[in-house]
Amino acid sequence: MIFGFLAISLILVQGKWCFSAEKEPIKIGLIAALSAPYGLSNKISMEISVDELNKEGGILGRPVKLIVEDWKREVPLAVAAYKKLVMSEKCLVVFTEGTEGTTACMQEAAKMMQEFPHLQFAFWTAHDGPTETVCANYDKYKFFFRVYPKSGDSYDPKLKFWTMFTEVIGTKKLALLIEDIGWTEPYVKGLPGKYPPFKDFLEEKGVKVVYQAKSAIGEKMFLPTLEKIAASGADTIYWITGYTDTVTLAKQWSESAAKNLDFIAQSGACSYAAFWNMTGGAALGWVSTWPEVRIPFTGKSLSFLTELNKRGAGLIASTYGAYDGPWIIKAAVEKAGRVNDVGALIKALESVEVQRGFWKWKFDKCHDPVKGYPYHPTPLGQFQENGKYTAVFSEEIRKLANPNDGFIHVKELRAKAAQR
Amino acid sequence: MMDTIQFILIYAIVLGSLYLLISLGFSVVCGVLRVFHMGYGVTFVVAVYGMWMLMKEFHFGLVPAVIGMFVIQTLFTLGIIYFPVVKRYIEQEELLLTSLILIALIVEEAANFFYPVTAGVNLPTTILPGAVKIGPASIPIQMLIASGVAIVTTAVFVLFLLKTKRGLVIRAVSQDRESAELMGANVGRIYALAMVLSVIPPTICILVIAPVWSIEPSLGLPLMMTSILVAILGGLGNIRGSIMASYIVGFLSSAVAFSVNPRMMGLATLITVFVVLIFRPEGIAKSESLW
Repeated sequence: MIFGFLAISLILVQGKWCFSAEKEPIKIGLIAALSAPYGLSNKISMEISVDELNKEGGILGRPVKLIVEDWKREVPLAVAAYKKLVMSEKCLVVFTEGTEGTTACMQEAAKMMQEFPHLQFAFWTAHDGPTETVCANYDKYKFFFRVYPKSGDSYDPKLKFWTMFTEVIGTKKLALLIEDIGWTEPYVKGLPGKYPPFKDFLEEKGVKVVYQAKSAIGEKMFLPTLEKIAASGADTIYWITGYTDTVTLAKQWSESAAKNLDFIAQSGACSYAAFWNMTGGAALGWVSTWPEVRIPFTGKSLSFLTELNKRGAGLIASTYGAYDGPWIIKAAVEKAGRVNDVGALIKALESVEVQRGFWKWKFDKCHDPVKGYPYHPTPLGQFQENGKYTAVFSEEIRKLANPNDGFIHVKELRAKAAQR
Repeated sequence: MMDTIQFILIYAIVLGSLYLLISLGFSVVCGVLRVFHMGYGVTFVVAVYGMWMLMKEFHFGLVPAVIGMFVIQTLFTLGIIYFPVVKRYIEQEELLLTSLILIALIVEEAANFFYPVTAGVNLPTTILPGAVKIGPASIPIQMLIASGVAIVTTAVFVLFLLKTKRGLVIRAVSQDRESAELMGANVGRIYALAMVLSVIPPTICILVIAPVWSIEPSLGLPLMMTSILVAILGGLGNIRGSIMASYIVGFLSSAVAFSVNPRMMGLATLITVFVVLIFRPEGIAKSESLW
């Protein structure tokens, strides 16, 4: 009788443990620079995503828990946070941001993979390096997936970014400025065996580059550079920015010798809708990639963006990956049918196609998102007279966001503004 | 070639004047109180966010906001910086410098909390929009105004120091504090006055350059670094030296930008200051007083 009682107790305890394990939350880690606008936006986007996921039943009936660590843009802190999230918190997947932070965490992850199998997703990481690393050494780095664009996208034949110059703006002579920092290296040197320096690539596509220079990321006085650009005879400026002070740049551009040259910037503060107010309207005519434009990709897009703004965050390039990321994980787990088999999850991620808030996500063999609408696009927007971003590229994005509007030359915009 | 020379000369004056306006207040504090004001950058932040707060939260008009902001600056400088910190720790350099840095960091964090970058803070202080063609150069009118304001402000400061009784006392204190005290100067009051005077140039500076400069909580540090560079090159605490150093740095930046590469502006300036310091560590002016 005693043995029977013990046996029943053992079964009940084990059953309770199994029952508890099935209801144990699936942990997703996020390492973000919380004092930076992009870090905060990433965190809030993932919080909204995880809340929605849990409301819709979680993943395989298990709730999802988001654990956030602040790396304060210091690589040692990112690595320490990564170890904590994987080893102590036992996160299934960790999202990292920043090229330097992501790369360091990737190396750490490779060392831990045997004992602590997990996945690493990266956003706000534009350098091609991590993707090239997966390609070059798949077995060691197959845990890594990018949910963000990369420098090499500018060369991608599916995105046709150069047609912004050749077909939309009608650029004859381009001034190419590249901020001098690690993530822009592929633009300066190209990628051996894959693509040439960006200047050479543009010239192959019929865009004549009449001025090229690097700019310091801490620079505050852009007037000499703008004078040189104006003197070069360029009709368009493409400034590859990420950390450059684009507010000062826009203010000085708008009053400089180059003010009637069309201006495209890559990213940074200029992607925010608030950029118009930050520049006091000096951003009239400014074009940026990843603009804060409300594009109704799916029925969820606008409600998410409204909630994001309500919680005090803006839409940036990494928001898309931050919001859709947990849903990609969900899709992969459901396809694999189980959570604790990272090998099966990797295979599932390599074949799954997911769409939640924005475009369709699908990964290529280097675990980079497949490009070109309806997959990962490269949207560009322009600040026009109403102080809001108008989507101007690609054509599919433009039609989706604002079918009656398109690109307008800055000279025309300034003339209209002067008349008012 | 002729165009390049013209660009260099024109921008040497524009940039030099800007650097002068940025660094003048720092020189005053160094020269009179003999304090390396590591919290100097906070002046720019208080000016911007003080004015923004008055306009946004209390709906002040532009002119009342400017006047209100000067009042806030004075109260902040005396109530937070001078009396609780500088006066107390003036003989304890480590404590003084640490406290000044902490104040600057606290103000920056507070500004970032209440008005983060995406709040769209922008001061409507454009006096005249547009640009003017001077030779081959196209200079924003606001930058020309900033240059003119810098020269006028410096002239007023110099005249005040040279032609007024109070200015004379300030110079006496900066030359020899003990002797000045023996001669009846109220050193404490002079120090407080110098602190208040020191916030005027950076406040005017940020008001005039706001239309061509980004307004963000961290704007103080780069401006403070410029001040330090100019002050070190000119001779710490010497206004004459600061004037010379500002235009030397302006010329250097301009020459490198137009004849070599704009990317090298900052590096060239730093290397030059370093080389000058090796051969003339006391700076250009080689003086131990304010003028």
